[in-house]
Amino acid sequence: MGSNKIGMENEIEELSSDLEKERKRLEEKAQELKQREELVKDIEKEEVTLKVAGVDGGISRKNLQGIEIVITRACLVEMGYKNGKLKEHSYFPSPNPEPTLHYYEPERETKKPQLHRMEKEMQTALNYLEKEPKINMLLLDGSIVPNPSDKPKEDSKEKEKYLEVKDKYEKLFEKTTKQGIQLIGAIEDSRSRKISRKIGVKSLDNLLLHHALEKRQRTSEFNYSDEPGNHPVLSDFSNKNRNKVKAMYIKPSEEDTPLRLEYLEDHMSPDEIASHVESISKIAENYSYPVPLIEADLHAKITDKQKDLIVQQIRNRAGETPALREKRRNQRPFK
Amino acid sequence: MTLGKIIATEETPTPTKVHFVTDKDLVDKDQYIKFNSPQGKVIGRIEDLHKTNRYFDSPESITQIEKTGMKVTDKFPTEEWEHTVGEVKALGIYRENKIERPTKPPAPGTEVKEPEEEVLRNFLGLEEQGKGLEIGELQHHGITSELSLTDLFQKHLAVLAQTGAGKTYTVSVLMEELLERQPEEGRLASLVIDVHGEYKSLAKSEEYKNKVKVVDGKDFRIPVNSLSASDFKKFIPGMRKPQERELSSAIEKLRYRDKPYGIEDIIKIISKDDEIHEEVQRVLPRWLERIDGNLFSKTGSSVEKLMSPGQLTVLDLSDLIESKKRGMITSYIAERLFSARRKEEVPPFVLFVEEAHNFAKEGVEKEENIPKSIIETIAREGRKFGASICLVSQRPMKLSTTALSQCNTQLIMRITNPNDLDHITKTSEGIDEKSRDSITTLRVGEALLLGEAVNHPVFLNIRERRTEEAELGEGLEEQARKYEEETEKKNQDAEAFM
Repeated sequence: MGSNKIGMENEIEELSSDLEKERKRLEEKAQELKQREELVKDIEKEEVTLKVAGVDGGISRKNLQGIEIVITRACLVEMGYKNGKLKEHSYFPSPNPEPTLHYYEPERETKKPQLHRMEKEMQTALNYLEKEPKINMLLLDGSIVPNPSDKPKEDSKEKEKYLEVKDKYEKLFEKTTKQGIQLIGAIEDSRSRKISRKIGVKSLDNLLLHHALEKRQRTSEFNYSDEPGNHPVLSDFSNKNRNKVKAMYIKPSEEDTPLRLEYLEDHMSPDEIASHVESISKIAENYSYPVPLIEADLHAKITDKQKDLIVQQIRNRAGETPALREKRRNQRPFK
Repeated sequence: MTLGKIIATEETPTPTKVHFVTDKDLVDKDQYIKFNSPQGKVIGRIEDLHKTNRYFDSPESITQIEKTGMKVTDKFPTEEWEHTVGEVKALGIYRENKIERPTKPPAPGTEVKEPEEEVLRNFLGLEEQGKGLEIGELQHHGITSELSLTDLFQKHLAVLAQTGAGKTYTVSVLMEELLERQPEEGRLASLVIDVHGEYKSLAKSEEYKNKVKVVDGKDFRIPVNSLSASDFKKFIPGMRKPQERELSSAIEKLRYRDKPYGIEDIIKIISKDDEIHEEVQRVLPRWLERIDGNLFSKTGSSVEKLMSPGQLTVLDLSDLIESKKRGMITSYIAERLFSARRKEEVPPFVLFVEEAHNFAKEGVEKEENIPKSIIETIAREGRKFGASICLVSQRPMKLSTTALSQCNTQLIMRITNPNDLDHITKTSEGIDEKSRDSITTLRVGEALLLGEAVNHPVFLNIRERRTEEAELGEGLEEQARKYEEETEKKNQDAEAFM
């Protein structure tokens, strides 16, 4: 009997079938990984008693006819845990941090706006460390080094900004090391394929590892880069620092994909890091992420309303100027 | 004191409605606030409060999180995200002791503040301290609520509440205030139709014993010579015109003799008069005998003498079981008082009618509910003559709509019966949906006052009584225990006798 399905229905069926095949393929590969004791380790169950800080930044952009506005802010949340329960918390610099404004003329429109967010996050963390806080871990939302995609081209005018940001990362490495604080980055949705490539599987690491790891298991630790000296970003870091960046995946929740952690090989062992982060990340069986970073995100986020308010303030001060007019595509009379 | 800031929502601020954000537990529902609008100082009442918290806005997430065996509050700093939003009804613009209608909205971001005591007092129409009847405190503000005698009583008052909500207590407070008044302040005479004997205790207090007189309903007699045939007709609804005519003629004859006479004298005249139709001679004396039952006498009790300025008469009807007899007494007293007041033979008065729904029943013909007619008349016309009525009821739905709607001030305490609430809402202009909801949640001793006595509905905490409450009857346990003990004793005595 011929199929009567037309257009998108066929495509949906095809996609569903492909995804099912892919899942089975990954499950088979994962079985192989599971057998390799050197790759899969158990995480010790722990109800933590420690102090941890998490920092996150928010960014919002507004493209007007004659100017591009980039607004950033960052918030750090310090949380004190006792036997796995949150007992105290505070914010730095405040629960509602002041945003910073950056602007570009049309011809100099930024290609790397995230550099501003990263700079704000780093500066907030550095300012906080000036107070020499008594914390055990400092968590970053994302990697503990800039993403290669955030690195401008050699001849770019933004290269200077990138190097400034990179320096702040290195300063953070030094300060946390000096103050006995373990620096860890938690990557919310990692795109890394490093492990998959190594075993010859075409997949994102966290999808493959979802089948390989059980709840409260982790991968063994591995180098962020096998050739740090040739890595587009790590090569910009000092020799000492570039070799200390490690990574691993942990699985705190049954139904959620593993969480990639990147950390500085420093004060805590991989087992300790996995156990501590697991303890403050297992939020539900279908979701895991470090709580201090969730809270920091809520305070750092810049809503559309806040963005509009800032733009309106600029308009109020500058008066009627065409540069501040909305782009024509955004002010069509008919929606 | 700053309480919060007005926020912009999709629908507010408007000239009459605003939302504001405030610290967690700084304000209460029904509290008054003030803010500035382009027209001036606006006074508003918080009609509702709600809290928001983004950590708790997804039921699915909460369930998932708590499945791990830990509470959401163990993991997240949830209190940081708790905000209280108040919904305010703008009541009016207060300007130089005048109240105007708000027609322009305030700006979002405007500060919401606590109004000054004097402003609030003037705005709500409360008397200055020491100048009115002190019945309690304005809820959430601690301001003593004193009300003008005229505003509270001239256009009549209704005290409505379900059983146990504090009606009698509140009415006793009102009576205490009336008894406290000095001649120069203007004093009313008061009389209460006390169905359950709950007000007798006022006469026992050292402070008021000389101002309170208790009259036992059993001893009250209606003087026959004060009644006309049409008065009798009220007590004998079945009486027809020819019978009324003959009765009138008999009364005429007795009055002509100029001597006190009783019902038996009327019967004698009717029975002996050969000119009266046989049927009338048979029926009329029987009716008169039936209503008598020791309620009528030749001289009777003087209602006028019971009424003195600054004095209270408690007419205790608790021992009268027959509701018709209670009705006849109430009707007679109300008639006499109203008539005497019209001729200025008694001082201006307030007549308190407890269980008013039994004396002025809705949906029942006047003939079957003897006092209904005069209660409605006083409610309609009493204002012009200084004759006030205070209707007290736990079943407003069964209370005459005519009488209730003429009570321009209402003191409402806890009521949960939806039919009673509907009836109150229909008969009172001042109750909106939010106030109606609040009535169901009032605690004992809390009341909503609205109408003539105040410019806007206010929630009050009724003040403490200065006199002792009447002793309540024994509890059911005690009564049951006593019954069994007595029965046992009787049985033992019977056995011993045998």
